[in-house]
Amino acid sequence: MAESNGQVNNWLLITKPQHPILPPAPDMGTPGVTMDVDHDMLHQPGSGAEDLPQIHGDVQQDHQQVDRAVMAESGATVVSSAEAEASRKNIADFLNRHFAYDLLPESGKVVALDVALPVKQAFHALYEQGIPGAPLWDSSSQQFVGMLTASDFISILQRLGSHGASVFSEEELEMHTIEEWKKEKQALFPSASHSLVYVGPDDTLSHVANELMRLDVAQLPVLHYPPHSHIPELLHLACLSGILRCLCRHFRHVPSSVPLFSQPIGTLRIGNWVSGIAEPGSRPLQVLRRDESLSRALALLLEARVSALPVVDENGVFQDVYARGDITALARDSTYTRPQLNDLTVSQALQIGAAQDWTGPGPLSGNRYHMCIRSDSLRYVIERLALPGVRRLICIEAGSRQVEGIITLRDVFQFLL
Amino acid sequence: MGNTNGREVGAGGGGQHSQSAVGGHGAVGGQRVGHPGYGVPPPGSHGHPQAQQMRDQGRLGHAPSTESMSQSPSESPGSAARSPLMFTPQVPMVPISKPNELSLGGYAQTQRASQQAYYETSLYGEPDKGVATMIVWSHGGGNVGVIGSWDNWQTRQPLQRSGRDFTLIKVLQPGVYQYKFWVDGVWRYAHDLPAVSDDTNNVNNVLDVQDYVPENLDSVAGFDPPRSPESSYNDPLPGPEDFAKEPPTVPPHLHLTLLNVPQQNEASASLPRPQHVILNHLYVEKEKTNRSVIVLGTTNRFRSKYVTTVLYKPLMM
Repeated sequence: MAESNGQVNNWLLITKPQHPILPPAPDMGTPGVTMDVDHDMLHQPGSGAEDLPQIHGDVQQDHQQVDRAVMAESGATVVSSAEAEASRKNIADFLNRHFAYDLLPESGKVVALDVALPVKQAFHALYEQGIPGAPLWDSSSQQFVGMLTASDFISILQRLGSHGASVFSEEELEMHTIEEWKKEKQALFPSASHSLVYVGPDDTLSHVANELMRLDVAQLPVLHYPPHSHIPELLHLACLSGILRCLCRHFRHVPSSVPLFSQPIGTLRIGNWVSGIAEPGSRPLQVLRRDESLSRALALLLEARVSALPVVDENGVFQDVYARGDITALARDSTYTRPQLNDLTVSQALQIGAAQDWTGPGPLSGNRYHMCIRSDSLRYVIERLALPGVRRLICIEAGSRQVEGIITLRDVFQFLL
Repeated sequence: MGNTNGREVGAGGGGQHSQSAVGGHGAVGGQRVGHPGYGVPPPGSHGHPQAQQMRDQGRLGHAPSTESMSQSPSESPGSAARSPLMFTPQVPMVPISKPNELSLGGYAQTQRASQQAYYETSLYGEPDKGVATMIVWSHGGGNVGVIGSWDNWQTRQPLQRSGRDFTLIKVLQPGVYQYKFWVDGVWRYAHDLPAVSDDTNNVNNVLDVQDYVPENLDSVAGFDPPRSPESSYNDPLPGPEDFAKEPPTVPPHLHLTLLNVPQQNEASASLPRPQHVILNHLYVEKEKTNRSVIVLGTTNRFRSKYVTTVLYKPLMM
């Protein structure tokens, strides 16, 4: 069939029932998209000598033809709701049949902090190791008692700042141990639960994913209690990114099981979008201007309860991302003790971590952000999010680099589960 | 050292690639220094100059206990470095490495190159490297072919007949694939292999290609420790004169702790597989300044995987 722009698409139909079923495979010309976008090109299966592997063409959905014509030229296809249901079922099956043990790398590393450690040393440790959080170990009770994350650092900075002192001396932070901070936190947020939540290595991946979503945390420790012992072994920190990686690996070579993945994200109800594009009634996306102060950025992060915000310049062109985890960069050179902390702008804070002389690990090394456009397929988004360290994708408009939306790991899981 | 085309001895077996290190003389050398069945990788065997450089760096300090085998010849072509292959169906096998692969890593040729090279050879399967996998059909037939999702069901490849089985070796990226057999004109699946059925009652076999080979733990359990020497545990506790002496030197293979592996850029990149000798030992970070924090590290095994734990503790004065 010929599209309006002259491209010719071929659609093949199934005939024999005993072959694997594949999603529709239009024959694409080169689409005219300018960004560096990977295309989910589905090749037409070649014909064998006697047998033709078949493809399933969903041709009876007439009302979707128009959408397909528009989307088809950008390399992604729209799927029917039955296929979406089948995809979700396959994903749920996969998550129920695999366990947290599969998330462990063959030779992995975990970092734990003693609860009696002063807060300052703790954040330096997090920064040295380049991790966003660590479980807390109490040697007197020989148990893990919680997690220390970047949000804690933000809360501490805000609290100490609000006490009137614009300079918090290093001694103050040095005296403060994590244990004392935990007690203060309990007083500050009495409604939140403060006991340790964890998963075991034999819990299913769907249980792990549900716990991560329910508690709204980034990482959960995987603990193993040997038989007849109350002393746990710390195995791993499970996160949504790890689960997504397992999922990707499993379904990467069987695209027929998850036809939903071929759908472009612009047509799905997923992610957080700016007010022009967002669904009516949902909360629009906040963006940070790069000359705003750091304290305003932190307040926005906490208020919107998100883990990162896009940073734009005066014209709204996308520049960078400021994430909660970037706060640990302030541990470098003990920047947080300088009196002008509140006046630091977001762009200056980002530059601290990106300085040339720091070659070590850290949340600010490597690729800080990944971008996509609205017509990219869900598979493209998921493959990017499965990369270690990537927790969100910024969706921008192809030509002007204006920020359109953000898709995070949590959004993807909410959509898939 | 003569013929270094030796194979793994003792604790070798199907999965012990990491112990064979470079040139395959690990096992042979190990016997010389009295470690039966252990693949002690000889870091010094890359040539003295490099070992010197590393010692000067102060970070790794591979002690020269491997002097006795420092006259080892240059690495023999890669095929000798791997243990004999065990042909279990669908167990990923070691790729036959080419001669030039051994001396490179993917990493820059820094001064730590020889230790890097050691870690590289124990890691096979970098992200883009395929893993050789064998596909077997053992249910008779005259003409057997296979078609799979690795190329989106495009080509059907014939299997070679060997006796009553039909086999094919494919190099695949790590991942999960589905495939099906074509036997004398009929599409069939092997019911003794993992399979999955999709919504239309179509059953495909499933192949899960790992990018590492899980350790063959049975071969480790087969290690027979030598008898303990005759002595008693009733020795007196060390006194002050004992503490005044220098402690005995650490055996050199304990320096191969994973804690010294240079940090990767991504926080969750995984470490190379550790040597068994460093498991269950407690390490302390080398004291840089008079710090109030002590950093402890240890590597343990959990089922078939390894976990390196680092703990930051305050030093009580």
